[in-house]
Amino acid sequence: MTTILRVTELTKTFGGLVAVSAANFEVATGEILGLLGPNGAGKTTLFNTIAGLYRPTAGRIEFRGQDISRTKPHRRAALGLARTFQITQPFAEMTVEENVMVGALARCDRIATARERAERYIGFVGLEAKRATLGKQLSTGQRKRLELARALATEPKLLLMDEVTGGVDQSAIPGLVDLVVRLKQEGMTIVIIEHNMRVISRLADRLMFLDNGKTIVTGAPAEVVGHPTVQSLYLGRKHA
Amino acid sequence: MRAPNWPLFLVAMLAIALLPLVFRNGYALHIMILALIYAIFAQAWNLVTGFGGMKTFGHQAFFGMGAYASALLSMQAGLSPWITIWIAALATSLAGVLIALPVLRIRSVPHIAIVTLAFAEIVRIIVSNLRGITRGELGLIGIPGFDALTLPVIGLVRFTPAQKLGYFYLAWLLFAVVTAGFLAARNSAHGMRVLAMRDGQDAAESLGVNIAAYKIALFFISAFIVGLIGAFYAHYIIVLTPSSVLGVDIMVLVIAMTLVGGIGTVAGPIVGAVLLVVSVELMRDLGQYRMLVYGGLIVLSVLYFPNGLASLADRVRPWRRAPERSLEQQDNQP
Ligand SMILES: Nc1ncnc2c1ncn2[C@@H]1O[C@H](COP(=O)(O)OP(=O)(O)O)[C@@H](O)[C@H]1O
Ligand SMILES: [Mg+2]
Repeated sequence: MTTILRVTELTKTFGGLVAVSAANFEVATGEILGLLGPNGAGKTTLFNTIAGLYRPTAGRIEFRGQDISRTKPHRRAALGLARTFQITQPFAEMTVEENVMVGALARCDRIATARERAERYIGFVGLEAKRATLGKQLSTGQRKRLELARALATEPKLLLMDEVTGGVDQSAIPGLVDLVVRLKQEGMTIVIIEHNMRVISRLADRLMFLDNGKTIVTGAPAEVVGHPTVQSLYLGRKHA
Repeated sequence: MRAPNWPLFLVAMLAIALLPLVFRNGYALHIMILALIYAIFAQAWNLVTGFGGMKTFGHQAFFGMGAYASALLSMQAGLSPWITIWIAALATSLAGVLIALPVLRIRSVPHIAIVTLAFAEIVRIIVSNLRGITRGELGLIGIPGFDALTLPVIGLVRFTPAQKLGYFYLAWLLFAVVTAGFLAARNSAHGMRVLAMRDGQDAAESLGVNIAAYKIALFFISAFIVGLIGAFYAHYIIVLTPSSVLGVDIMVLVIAMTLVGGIGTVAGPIVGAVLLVVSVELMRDLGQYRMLVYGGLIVLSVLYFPNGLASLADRVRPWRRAPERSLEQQDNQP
Protein backbone atom coordinates (compact mmCIF):
# COMPACT_ATOMS: atom_id res chain seq x y z
CA MET A 1 0.00 0.00 0.00
CA THR A 2 1.19 3.47 -0.83
CA THR A 3 1.07 6.50 1.42
CA ILE A 4 -1.39 9.09 0.13
CA LEU A 5 -1.13 11.61 2.98
CA ARG A 6 1.88 12.27 5.13
CA VAL A 7 1.65 14.81 7.94
CA THR A 8 4.93 15.77 9.58
CA GLU A 9 5.32 17.80 12.78
CA LEU A 10 2.18 19.75 11.88
CA THR A 11 1.40 22.56 14.31
CA LYS A 12 -1.39 25.12 14.25
CA THR A 13 -1.69 27.85 16.84
CA PHE A 14 -4.28 30.57 17.35
CA GLY A 15 -2.53 33.33 19.24
CA GLY A 16 -1.28 31.57 22.36
CA LEU A 17 -3.51 28.52 21.88
CA VAL A 18 -1.84 25.46 20.40
CA ALA A 19 -4.78 23.78 18.67
CA VAL A 20 -2.66 21.14 16.93
CA SER A 21 0.71 20.30 18.36
CA ALA A 22 3.36 18.54 16.23
CA ALA A 23 1.05 15.97 14.69
CA ASN A 24 2.74 13.11 12.83
CA PHE A 25 0.82 10.50 10.89
CA GLU A 26 0.37 8.83 7.54
CA VAL A 27 -2.65 7.58 5.67
CA ALA A 28 -2.30 4.66 3.27
CA THR A 29 -4.37 4.35 0.12
CA GLY A 30 -7.57 2.46 0.82
CA GLU A 31 -7.29 2.90 4.55
CA ILE A 32 -9.78 4.38 6.98
CA LEU A 33 -8.23 6.36 9.80
CA GLY A 34 -10.50 7.35 12.67
CA LEU A 35 -9.78 10.54 14.58
CA LEU A 36 -10.92 10.63 18.20
CA GLY A 37 -10.68 13.04 21.05
CA PRO A 38 -12.70 15.26 23.35
CA ASN A 39 -14.23 18.50 22.11
CA GLY A 40 -11.58 21.12 21.54
CA ALA A 41 -8.89 18.48 21.02
CA GLY A 42 -7.97 19.99 17.65
CA LYS A 43 -9.54 17.46 15.28
CA THR A 44 -11.40 19.99 13.12
CA THR A 45 -8.40 22.31 13.14
CA LEU A 46 -6.28 19.43 11.85
CA PHE A 47 -8.79 18.91 9.02
CA ASN A 48 -8.92 22.61 8.21
CA THR A 49 -5.15 22.74 8.02
CA ILE A 50 -4.92 19.65 5.81
CA ALA A 51 -7.67 21.01 3.54
CA GLY A 52 -5.96 24.38 3.33
CA LEU A 53 -8.46 26.59 5.12
CA TYR A 54 -5.74 27.35 7.68
CA ARG A 55 -2.05 27.85 7.02
CA PRO A 56 0.08 25.59 9.18
CA THR A 57 2.11 27.39 11.84
CA ALA A 58 4.80 24.77 11.35
CA GLY A 59 5.26 21.37 9.79
CA ARG A 60 4.54 19.79 6.47
CA ILE A 61 1.66 18.18 4.62
CA GLU A 62 2.36 15.88 1.68
CA PHE A 63 -0.47 14.65 -0.46
CA ARG A 64 0.17 12.15 -3.25
CA GLY A 65 3.85 12.86 -3.01
CA GLN A 66 3.52 16.63 -3.27
CA ASP A 67 4.17 19.18 -0.57
CA ILE A 68 0.83 20.99 -0.28
CA SER A 69 1.55 22.83 2.98
CA ARG A 70 1.00 26.17 1.29
CA THR A 71 -1.26 25.20 -1.59
CA LYS A 72 -4.60 26.99 -1.96
CA PRO A 73 -7.67 24.94 -0.93
CA HIS A 74 -9.10 24.81 -4.46
CA ARG A 75 -5.81 23.40 -5.75
CA ARG A 76 -5.88 20.73 -3.07
CA ALA A 77 -9.39 19.83 -4.21
CA ALA A 78 -8.10 19.56 -7.76
CA LEU A 79 -5.39 17.19 -6.52
CA GLY A 80 -8.08 14.94 -5.07
CA LEU A 81 -8.65 16.11 -1.52
CA ALA A 82 -12.27 16.50 -0.40
CA ARG A 83 -13.87 17.17 2.93
CA THR A 84 -17.16 17.58 4.74
CA PHE A 85 -17.76 20.15 7.45
CA GLN A 86 -18.65 19.51 11.08
CA ILE A 87 -21.00 22.48 10.91
CA THR A 88 -22.56 21.73 7.55
CA GLN A 89 -22.25 24.39 4.86
CA PRO A 90 -24.80 23.65 2.15
CA PHE A 91 -25.14 26.24 -0.60
CA ALA A 92 -28.32 27.58 0.92
CA GLU A 93 -29.99 29.12 -2.12
CA MET A 94 -29.07 26.31 -4.48
CA THR A 95 -30.94 23.06 -4.90
CA VAL A 96 -29.51 19.72 -3.80
CA GLU A 97 -28.83 18.92 -7.44
CA GLU A 98 -27.01 22.23 -7.99
CA ASN A 99 -25.02 21.75 -4.78
CA VAL A 100 -23.71 18.42 -5.99
CA MET A 101 -23.16 19.75 -9.51
CA VAL A 102 -20.72 22.31 -8.08
CA GLY A 103 -18.69 19.38 -6.80
CA ALA A 104 -18.87 17.61 -10.15
CA LEU A 105 -17.74 20.80 -11.92
CA ALA A 106 -14.36 20.33 -10.23
CA ARG A 107 -13.73 17.59 -12.82
CA CYS A 108 -15.64 18.84 -15.86
CA ASP A 109 -16.84 22.09 -17.38
CA ARG A 110 -20.01 20.89 -19.08
CA ILE A 111 -23.24 21.47 -17.20
CA ALA A 112 -24.92 18.41 -18.71
CA THR A 113 -22.02 16.15 -17.71
CA ALA A 114 -21.95 17.64 -14.24
CA ARG A 115 -25.68 16.98 -13.88
CA GLU A 116 -25.31 13.33 -14.89
CA ARG A 117 -22.50 12.79 -12.42
CA ALA A 118 -24.34 14.66 -9.68
CA GLU A 119 -27.28 12.34 -10.20
CA ARG A 120 -25.08 9.35 -9.43
CA TYR A 121 -23.93 10.74 -6.08
CA ILE A 122 -27.37 12.04 -5.13
CA GLY A 123 -28.53 8.46 -5.66
CA PHE A 124 -25.64 7.08 -3.61
CA VAL A 125 -26.52 9.20 -0.56
CA GLY A 126 -30.25 8.64 -1.06
CA LEU A 127 -31.35 12.22 -1.66
CA GLU A 128 -33.21 11.58 -4.95
CA ALA A 129 -36.47 12.83 -3.48
CA LYS A 130 -34.78 16.05 -2.37
CA ARG A 131 -33.10 16.79 -5.69
CA ALA A 132 -35.02 20.05 -6.17
CA THR A 133 -35.00 21.15 -2.53
CA LEU A 134 -32.94 24.18 -1.56
CA GLY A 135 -29.92 23.58 0.64
CA LYS A 136 -31.34 25.70 3.42
CA GLN A 137 -34.47 23.56 3.64
CA LEU A 138 -32.69 20.31 4.53
CA SER A 139 -32.52 18.65 7.95
CA THR A 140 -29.12 18.16 9.58
CA GLY A 141 -28.96 14.51 8.51
CA GLN A 142 -29.84 15.46 4.93
CA ARG A 143 -27.19 18.17 4.98
CA LYS A 144 -24.60 15.62 6.05
CA ARG A 145 -25.65 13.45 3.11
CA LEU A 146 -25.55 16.42 0.77
CA GLU A 147 -22.03 17.33 1.85
CA LEU A 148 -20.94 13.77 1.32
CA ALA A 149 -22.44 13.67 -2.18
CA ARG A 150 -20.89 17.04 -3.01
CA ALA A 151 -17.45 15.92 -1.82
CA LEU A 152 -17.71 12.58 -3.66
CA ALA A 153 -18.70 14.38 -6.85
CA THR A 154 -15.21 15.91 -6.94
CA GLU A 155 -13.96 12.32 -7.36
CA PRO A 156 -11.55 12.53 -4.43
CA LYS A 157 -8.55 10.34 -3.72
CA LEU A 158 -8.87 11.15 -0.02
CA LEU A 159 -12.00 12.10 1.89
CA LEU A 160 -11.96 13.94 5.21
CA MET A 161 -15.24 13.49 7.08
CA ASP A 162 -15.87 15.67 10.11
CA GLU A 163 -18.44 14.24 12.55
CA VAL A 164 -20.72 12.51 10.09
CA THR A 165 -23.22 11.67 12.81
CA GLY A 166 -22.65 14.77 14.96
CA GLY A 167 -25.81 16.70 15.80
CA VAL A 168 -27.90 14.28 13.78
CA ASP A 169 -31.19 12.74 14.89
CA GLN A 170 -30.64 9.37 16.59
CA SER A 171 -32.79 7.65 13.97
CA ALA A 172 -30.72 9.06 11.09
CA ILE A 173 -27.38 7.74 12.38
CA PRO A 174 -27.49 4.12 11.09
CA GLY A 175 -28.17 5.32 7.54
CA LEU A 176 -25.18 7.66 7.64
CA VAL A 177 -22.92 5.00 9.10
CA ASP A 178 -24.06 2.64 6.37
CA LEU A 179 -22.91 5.15 3.74
CA VAL A 180 -19.42 5.15 5.21
CA VAL A 181 -19.44 1.36 5.27
CA ARG A 182 -20.32 1.32 1.59
CA LEU A 183 -17.54 3.81 0.80
CA LYS A 184 -15.15 1.57 2.71
CA GLN A 185 -16.27 -1.41 0.65
CA GLU A 186 -15.63 0.57 -2.50
CA GLY A 187 -12.08 1.20 -1.34
CA MET A 188 -12.29 4.92 -0.61
CA THR A 189 -9.48 6.36 1.50
CA ILE A 190 -11.00 8.21 4.45
CA VAL A 191 -10.00 10.11 7.55
CA ILE A 192 -13.06 10.30 9.73
CA ILE A 193 -13.81 12.17 12.94
CA GLU A 194 -16.45 10.35 14.94
CA HIS A 195 -17.28 10.44 18.64
CA ASN A 196 -19.21 7.21 18.86
CA MET A 197 -16.66 4.58 19.96
CA ARG A 198 -18.68 1.64 18.74
CA VAL A 199 -19.25 3.21 15.33
CA ILE A 200 -15.66 4.28 14.84
CA SER A 201 -14.15 0.99 16.01
CA ARG A 202 -16.24 -0.80 13.43
CA LEU A 203 -15.39 1.55 10.57
CA ALA A 204 -11.76 2.41 11.05
CA ASP A 205 -8.68 0.33 10.31
CA ARG A 206 -6.67 2.47 12.69
CA LEU A 207 -7.49 5.10 15.28
CA MET A 208 -5.67 8.21 16.37
CA PHE A 209 -6.54 9.88 19.65
CA LEU A 210 -5.95 13.59 20.22
CA ASP A 211 -6.20 15.63 23.39
CA ASN A 212 -5.32 19.31 23.75
CA GLY A 213 -3.76 19.27 20.31
CA LYS A 214 -1.40 16.46 21.21
CA THR A 215 -1.46 12.97 19.75
CA ILE A 216 -1.99 10.59 22.68
CA VAL A 217 -1.91 7.32 20.79
CA THR A 218 -2.20 5.94 17.26
CA GLY A 219 -2.83 2.29 16.46
CA ALA A 220 -5.30 -0.53 15.97
CA PRO A 221 -8.80 0.21 17.36
CA ALA A 222 -8.51 -2.25 20.28
CA GLU A 223 -5.13 -0.84 21.26
CA VAL A 224 -6.32 2.77 21.21
CA VAL A 225 -9.58 2.08 23.00
CA GLY A 226 -7.68 0.19 25.67
CA HIS A 227 -5.13 2.97 26.21
CA PRO A 228 -5.32 4.27 29.82
CA THR A 229 -5.53 7.97 28.86
CA VAL A 230 -8.26 7.24 26.35
CA GLN A 231 -10.09 5.16 28.91
CA SER A 232 -9.94 7.86 31.56
CA LEU A 233 -10.93 10.62 29.14
CA TYR A 234 -13.83 8.67 27.74
CA LEU A 235 -15.04 7.42 31.09
CA GLY A 236 -14.42 10.68 32.89
CA ARG A 237 -16.15 13.05 30.45
CA LYS A 238 -19.33 13.10 28.45
CA HIS A 239 -18.86 13.97 24.79
CA ALA A 240 -21.20 15.60 22.36
CA MET B 1 -31.85 25.56 -12.00
CA ARG B 2 -33.90 27.29 -14.59
CA ALA B 3 -32.99 27.33 -18.25
CA PRO B 4 -32.92 30.86 -19.71
CA ASN B 5 -36.27 31.77 -21.17
CA TRP B 6 -34.98 32.91 -24.56
CA PRO B 7 -38.38 33.29 -26.22
CA LEU B 8 -39.51 35.62 -23.42
CA PHE B 9 -36.25 37.53 -23.73
CA LEU B 10 -36.69 38.01 -27.47
CA VAL B 11 -40.31 39.08 -27.12
CA ALA B 12 -39.38 41.55 -24.37
CA MET B 13 -36.55 43.01 -26.45
CA LEU B 14 -38.85 43.38 -29.43
CA ALA B 15 -41.50 45.05 -27.27
CA ILE B 16 -38.94 47.53 -25.93
CA ALA B 17 -37.73 48.23 -29.46
CA LEU B 18 -41.29 49.11 -30.46
CA LEU B 19 -41.86 51.51 -27.53
CA PRO B 20 -40.76 54.62 -29.48
CA LEU B 21 -43.69 54.01 -31.82
CA VAL B 22 -45.99 54.76 -28.89
CA PHE B 23 -43.91 57.24 -26.90
CA ARG B 24 -42.24 59.37 -29.52
CA ASN B 25 -41.59 62.69 -27.78
CA GLY B 26 -38.16 63.62 -26.52
CA TYR B 27 -39.16 63.56 -22.86
CA ALA B 28 -40.54 60.03 -23.04
CA LEU B 29 -37.47 58.86 -24.94
CA HIS B 30 -35.25 60.42 -22.28
CA ILE B 31 -37.06 58.51 -19.52
CA MET B 32 -36.75 55.26 -21.46
CA ILE B 33 -33.04 55.84 -22.10
CA LEU B 34 -32.50 56.50 -18.38
CA ALA B 35 -34.41 53.33 -17.51
CA LEU B 36 -32.17 51.32 -19.85
CA ILE B 37 -29.01 52.91 -18.45
CA TYR B 38 -30.06 52.10 -14.90
CA ALA B 39 -31.19 48.61 -15.88
CA ILE B 40 -27.69 47.91 -17.21
CA PHE B 41 -26.01 49.55 -14.22
CA ALA B 42 -28.16 47.64 -11.71
CA GLN B 43 -27.49 44.33 -13.46
CA ALA B 44 -23.76 44.96 -13.29
CA TRP B 45 -23.89 45.80 -9.58
CA ASN B 46 -26.08 42.76 -8.99
CA LEU B 47 -23.37 40.64 -10.59
CA VAL B 48 -20.88 41.47 -7.86
CA THR B 49 -23.31 41.74 -4.96
CA GLY B 50 -26.35 39.60 -5.76
CA PHE B 51 -24.51 36.79 -7.51
CA GLY B 52 -20.99 37.20 -6.15
CA GLY B 53 -22.02 37.94 -2.58
CA MET B 54 -19.62 40.89 -2.17
CA LYS B 55 -21.68 43.75 -0.76
CA THR B 56 -20.08 46.65 -2.57
CA PHE B 57 -21.04 50.28 -2.16
CA GLY B 58 -18.79 52.08 -4.61
CA HIS B 59 -19.98 51.32 -8.11
CA GLN B 60 -20.74 54.98 -8.77
CA ALA B 61 -16.96 55.34 -9.10
CA PHE B 62 -17.02 53.07 -12.17
CA PHE B 63 -19.90 55.00 -13.71
CA GLY B 64 -18.15 58.35 -13.22
CA MET B 65 -14.76 57.03 -14.33
CA GLY B 66 -16.23 55.67 -17.52
CA ALA B 67 -18.08 58.93 -18.14
CA TYR B 68 -15.13 61.24 -17.47
CA ALA B 69 -12.56 59.04 -19.19
CA SER B 70 -14.56 58.81 -22.40
CA ALA B 71 -15.56 62.48 -22.34
CA LEU B 72 -12.01 63.70 -21.75
CA LEU B 73 -10.50 61.32 -24.29
CA SER B 74 -12.91 62.42 -26.98
CA MET B 75 -12.44 66.11 -26.15
CA GLN B 76 -8.68 66.23 -25.64
CA ALA B 77 -7.42 63.48 -27.92
CA GLY B 78 -10.06 64.18 -30.53
CA LEU B 79 -11.03 60.53 -30.73
CA SER B 80 -14.51 59.47 -31.77
CA PRO B 81 -16.83 58.57 -28.87
CA TRP B 82 -17.42 55.29 -30.71
CA ILE B 83 -13.82 54.44 -29.81
CA THR B 84 -13.41 56.25 -26.51
CA ILE B 85 -16.31 54.46 -24.81
CA TRP B 86 -14.43 51.16 -25.18
CA ILE B 87 -11.13 52.59 -23.97
CA ALA B 88 -12.97 54.13 -21.01
CA ALA B 89 -14.72 50.84 -20.22
CA LEU B 90 -11.43 48.96 -20.31
CA ALA B 91 -9.70 51.52 -18.09
CA THR B 92 -12.61 51.33 -15.66
CA SER B 93 -12.47 47.54 -15.58
CA LEU B 94 -8.79 47.74 -14.61
CA ALA B 95 -9.78 50.05 -11.76
CA GLY B 96 -12.34 47.37 -10.87
CA VAL B 97 -9.59 44.78 -10.57
CA LEU B 98 -7.58 47.20 -8.45
CA ILE B 99 -10.42 47.55 -5.95
CA ALA B 100 -11.06 43.80 -6.06
CA LEU B 101 -7.59 43.10 -4.69
CA PRO B 102 -8.21 44.47 -1.18
CA VAL B 103 -11.70 42.94 -1.28
CA LEU B 104 -10.09 39.51 -1.71
CA ARG B 105 -8.65 39.80 1.74
CA ILE B 106 -11.91 40.89 3.38
CA ARG B 107 -14.78 38.59 4.20
CA SER B 108 -16.72 40.91 6.49
CA VAL B 109 -19.71 42.48 4.75
CA PRO B 110 -19.54 45.96 6.33
CA HIS B 111 -15.82 46.17 5.66
CA ILE B 112 -16.24 45.51 1.93
CA ALA B 113 -18.98 48.15 1.79
CA ILE B 114 -16.81 50.74 3.52
CA VAL B 115 -13.67 50.01 1.49
CA THR B 116 -15.53 50.32 -1.81
CA LEU B 117 -17.39 53.44 -0.68
CA ALA B 118 -14.13 55.05 0.42
CA PHE B 119 -12.61 54.23 -2.97
CA ALA B 120 -15.54 55.88 -4.75
CA GLU B 121 -15.35 58.96 -2.55
CA ILE B 122 -11.63 59.27 -3.28
CA VAL B 123 -12.39 59.12 -7.00
CA ARG B 124 -15.10 61.78 -6.62
CA ILE B 125 -12.82 64.10 -4.64
CA ILE B 126 -9.98 63.70 -7.12
CA VAL B 127 -12.24 64.47 -10.07
CA SER B 128 -13.67 67.49 -8.20
CA ASN B 129 -10.24 68.85 -7.46
CA LEU B 130 -8.60 68.30 -10.83
CA ARG B 131 -10.23 71.52 -11.99
CA GLY B 132 -7.65 72.11 -14.69
CA ILE B 133 -8.85 69.01 -16.47
CA THR B 134 -12.40 68.36 -15.29
CA ARG B 135 -13.49 71.92 -14.31
CA GLY B 136 -14.68 70.37 -11.04
CA GLU B 137 -18.23 71.17 -10.02
CA LEU B 138 -18.41 73.85 -12.72
CA GLY B 139 -18.99 70.91 -14.97
CA LEU B 140 -17.34 69.46 -18.03
CA ILE B 141 -19.13 70.93 -21.02
CA GLY B 142 -18.80 70.54 -24.76
CA ILE B 143 -18.65 66.74 -24.68
CA PRO B 144 -19.26 65.51 -28.22
CA GLY B 145 -22.20 63.26 -28.99
CA PHE B 146 -21.74 60.10 -31.02
CA ASP B 147 -20.84 60.67 -34.68
CA ALA B 148 -23.71 60.21 -37.08
CA LEU B 149 -23.92 56.77 -38.65
CA THR B 150 -25.19 55.60 -41.98
CA LEU B 151 -26.81 52.24 -41.58
CA PRO B 152 -28.14 49.97 -44.27
CA VAL B 153 -31.93 50.19 -44.74
CA ILE B 154 -32.33 52.79 -41.94
CA GLY B 155 -30.07 55.43 -43.49
CA LEU B 156 -28.48 58.31 -41.57
CA VAL B 157 -28.74 58.14 -37.77
CA ARG B 158 -27.87 61.29 -35.84
CA PHE B 159 -27.05 61.53 -32.16
CA THR B 160 -27.98 64.99 -30.87
CA PRO B 161 -29.99 66.26 -27.89
CA ALA B 162 -32.87 66.85 -30.29
CA GLN B 163 -32.57 63.43 -31.91
CA LYS B 164 -32.71 60.87 -29.16
CA LEU B 165 -33.93 57.92 -31.15
CA GLY B 166 -30.38 56.82 -32.03
CA TYR B 167 -29.39 56.98 -28.36
CA PHE B 168 -32.43 54.95 -27.44
CA TYR B 169 -31.58 52.14 -29.83
CA LEU B 170 -27.92 52.19 -28.82
CA ALA B 171 -28.91 51.87 -25.15
CA TRP B 172 -31.36 49.15 -26.18
CA LEU B 173 -28.59 47.25 -27.96
CA LEU B 174 -26.24 47.47 -24.97
CA PHE B 175 -29.06 46.38 -22.70
CA ALA B 176 -29.87 43.40 -24.92
CA VAL B 177 -26.26 42.22 -25.06
CA VAL B 178 -25.70 42.61 -21.32
CA THR B 179 -28.97 40.91 -20.40
CA ALA B 180 -28.39 38.03 -22.82
CA GLY B 181 -24.93 37.63 -21.31
CA PHE B 182 -26.32 37.39 -17.80
CA LEU B 183 -29.05 34.98 -18.86
CA ALA B 184 -26.49 32.67 -20.45
CA ALA B 185 -23.96 32.98 -17.63
CA ARG B 186 -26.46 32.33 -14.87
CA ASN B 187 -26.78 28.70 -15.93
CA SER B 188 -23.20 28.06 -17.00
CA ALA B 189 -20.50 26.25 -15.06
CA HIS B 190 -19.01 29.62 -14.16
CA GLY B 191 -22.39 30.88 -12.99
CA MET B 192 -22.88 27.92 -10.68
CA ARG B 193 -19.44 28.27 -9.16
CA VAL B 194 -20.11 31.97 -8.53
CA LEU B 195 -23.41 31.20 -6.77
CA ALA B 196 -21.67 28.54 -4.70
CA MET B 197 -19.03 31.07 -3.70
CA ARG B 198 -21.77 33.48 -2.62
CA ASP B 199 -23.52 30.83 -0.52
CA GLY B 200 -20.38 29.49 1.15
CA GLN B 201 -16.83 30.49 0.35
CA ASP B 202 -15.12 27.78 2.39
CA ALA B 203 -17.34 25.07 0.98
CA ALA B 204 -16.95 26.34 -2.58
CA GLU B 205 -13.17 26.46 -2.20
CA SER B 206 -13.14 22.93 -0.80
CA LEU B 207 -14.91 21.80 -3.99
CA GLY B 208 -12.26 23.33 -6.23
CA VAL B 209 -13.72 26.79 -6.89
CA ASN B 210 -10.94 29.36 -7.31
CA ILE B 211 -12.72 32.10 -5.43
CA ALA B 212 -9.96 34.71 -5.81
CA ALA B 213 -10.07 34.37 -9.60
CA TYR B 214 -13.86 34.56 -9.67
CA LYS B 215 -13.96 37.63 -7.46
CA ILE B 216 -11.48 39.45 -9.67
CA ALA B 217 -13.35 38.38 -12.81
CA LEU B 218 -16.67 39.61 -11.39
CA PHE B 219 -15.21 43.00 -10.56
CA PHE B 220 -13.57 43.20 -13.98
CA ILE B 221 -16.78 42.42 -15.87
CA SER B 222 -18.99 44.54 -13.64
CA ALA B 223 -16.70 47.58 -13.79
CA PHE B 224 -16.41 47.17 -17.56
CA ILE B 225 -20.18 47.26 -18.01
CA VAL B 226 -20.70 50.18 -15.62
CA GLY B 227 -17.79 52.07 -17.19
CA LEU B 228 -19.23 51.50 -20.63
CA ILE B 229 -22.69 52.69 -19.70
CA GLY B 230 -21.16 55.66 -17.87
CA ALA B 231 -19.30 56.54 -21.06
CA PHE B 232 -22.49 56.21 -23.05
CA TYR B 233 -24.18 58.52 -20.55
CA ALA B 234 -21.45 61.16 -20.96
CA HIS B 235 -21.95 61.36 -24.72
CA TYR B 236 -25.69 61.37 -24.27
CA ILE B 237 -26.07 63.97 -21.54
CA ILE B 238 -22.97 65.95 -22.79
CA VAL B 239 -22.42 67.74 -19.45
CA LEU B 240 -20.72 66.09 -16.48
CA THR B 241 -20.22 67.14 -12.88
CA PRO B 242 -18.66 65.02 -10.15
CA SER B 243 -21.89 65.03 -8.16
CA SER B 244 -24.01 64.01 -11.15
CA VAL B 245 -22.01 60.90 -12.04
CA LEU B 246 -19.91 60.14 -8.94
CA GLY B 247 -22.33 60.89 -6.09
CA VAL B 248 -23.19 58.21 -3.57
CA ASP B 249 -26.89 58.89 -4.29
CA ILE B 250 -26.44 57.05 -7.60
CA MET B 251 -25.27 53.97 -5.71
CA VAL B 252 -28.18 54.23 -3.29
CA LEU B 253 -30.61 54.44 -6.21
CA VAL B 254 -29.07 51.41 -7.94
CA ILE B 255 -29.20 49.40 -4.72
CA ALA B 256 -32.84 50.40 -4.19
CA MET B 257 -33.67 49.32 -7.75
CA THR B 258 -31.97 45.96 -7.30
CA LEU B 259 -33.63 45.29 -3.95
CA VAL B 260 -37.08 46.34 -5.14
CA GLY B 261 -36.80 44.15 -8.23
CA GLY B 262 -35.03 41.24 -6.57
CA ILE B 263 -31.33 40.89 -5.78
CA GLY B 264 -29.53 37.82 -7.08
CA THR B 265 -31.90 37.34 -10.02
CA VAL B 266 -31.44 38.31 -13.65
CA ALA B 267 -34.83 40.00 -13.98
CA GLY B 268 -34.79 41.80 -10.62
CA PRO B 269 -32.49 44.73 -11.38
CA ILE B 270 -34.26 45.33 -14.70
CA VAL B 271 -37.73 45.38 -13.15
CA GLY B 272 -36.49 47.60 -10.31
CA ALA B 273 -34.77 50.07 -12.63
CA VAL B 274 -37.82 50.49 -14.84
CA LEU B 275 -40.18 50.81 -11.86
CA LEU B 276 -38.13 53.41 -10.02
CA VAL B 277 -37.19 55.50 -13.05
CA VAL B 278 -40.75 55.57 -14.33
CA SER B 279 -42.48 56.02 -10.96
CA VAL B 280 -40.34 58.99 -10.00
CA GLU B 281 -41.41 60.65 -13.24
CA LEU B 282 -45.08 59.77 -12.78
CA MET B 283 -44.95 61.40 -9.35
CA ARG B 284 -43.73 64.75 -10.63
CA ASP B 285 -47.08 66.33 -9.73
CA LEU B 286 -46.52 65.52 -6.08
CA GLY B 287 -43.83 68.22 -6.01
CA GLN B 288 -41.88 68.30 -2.78
CA TYR B 289 -43.59 65.17 -1.44
CA ARG B 290 -42.34 63.13 -4.35
CA MET B 291 -39.18 61.84 -2.71
CA LEU B 292 -41.11 61.07 0.48
CA VAL B 293 -43.62 58.88 -1.35
CA TYR B 294 -40.84 57.39 -3.43
CA GLY B 295 -38.81 56.45 -0.36
CA GLY B 296 -41.92 55.05 1.31
CA LEU B 297 -42.68 52.86 -1.69
CA ILE B 298 -39.15 51.47 -1.68
CA VAL B 299 -39.33 50.67 2.03
CA LEU B 300 -42.74 49.02 1.67
CA SER B 301 -41.80 46.92 -1.32
CA VAL B 302 -38.58 45.71 0.29
CA LEU B 303 -40.48 44.93 3.51
CA TYR B 304 -43.35 43.06 1.91
CA PHE B 305 -41.54 41.55 -1.08
CA PRO B 306 -38.10 40.72 0.29
CA ASN B 307 -37.39 38.52 -2.73
CA GLY B 308 -38.20 41.41 -5.01
CA LEU B 309 -41.10 42.25 -7.25
CA ALA B 310 -39.69 40.14 -10.09
CA SER B 311 -40.36 37.08 -7.90
CA LEU B 312 -44.10 37.81 -8.09
CA ALA B 313 -44.19 36.26 -11.55
CA ASP B 314 -43.12 32.99 -9.96
CA ARG B 315 -45.83 33.20 -7.33
CA VAL B 316 -48.49 33.68 -9.93
CA ARG B 317 -47.23 30.76 -11.98
CA PRO B 318 -45.91 28.33 -9.40
CA TRP B 319 -45.11 25.62 -11.94
CA ARG B 320 -42.41 27.86 -13.36
CA ARG B 321 -40.46 27.93 -10.12
CA ALA B 322 -37.02 26.45 -10.43
CA PRO B 323 -37.27 23.61 -7.89
CA GLU B 324 -40.27 22.02 -9.52
CA ARG B 325 -38.87 21.83 -13.00
CA SER B 326 -38.30 18.37 -14.31
CA LEU B 327 -34.88 17.18 -15.35
CA GLU B 328 -35.86 16.62 -18.96
CA GLN B 329 -36.65 20.30 -19.40
CA GLN B 330 -33.35 21.33 -17.91
CA ASP B 331 -31.30 19.01 -20.04
CA ASN B 332 -31.76 21.02 -23.20
CA GLN B 333 -29.45 23.82 -22.21
CA PRO B 334 -25.74 24.12 -22.99
N1 LIG C 1 -10.48 29.78 13.92
C1 LIG C 1 -10.13 29.62 15.21
N2 LIG C 1 -9.66 30.68 15.91
C2 LIG C 1 -9.30 30.53 17.19
N3 LIG C 1 -9.38 29.40 17.87
C3 LIG C 1 -9.83 28.30 17.22
C4 LIG C 1 -10.24 28.37 15.86
N4 LIG C 1 -10.64 27.13 15.48
C5 LIG C 1 -10.51 26.34 16.55
N5 LIG C 1 -10.02 27.04 17.61
C6 LIG C 1 -9.70 26.50 18.92
O1 LIG C 1 -8.83 25.42 18.71
C7 LIG C 1 -9.13 24.37 19.63
C8 LIG C 1 -9.44 23.11 18.85
O2 LIG C 1 -10.71 23.25 18.23
P1 LIG C 1 -11.27 22.20 17.20
O3 LIG C 1 -10.22 21.88 16.22
O4 LIG C 1 -12.55 22.72 16.69
O5 LIG C 1 -11.54 20.95 18.15
P2 LIG C 1 -12.37 19.63 17.87
O6 LIG C 1 -12.77 19.59 16.45
O7 LIG C 1 -11.43 18.53 18.25
O8 LIG C 1 -13.55 19.66 18.80
C9 LIG C 1 -10.30 24.83 20.47
O9 LIG C 1 -9.80 25.35 21.68
C10 LIG C 1 -10.90 25.92 19.64
O10 LIG C 1 -11.52 26.89 20.45
MG1 LIG D 1 -14.62 19.50 15.62
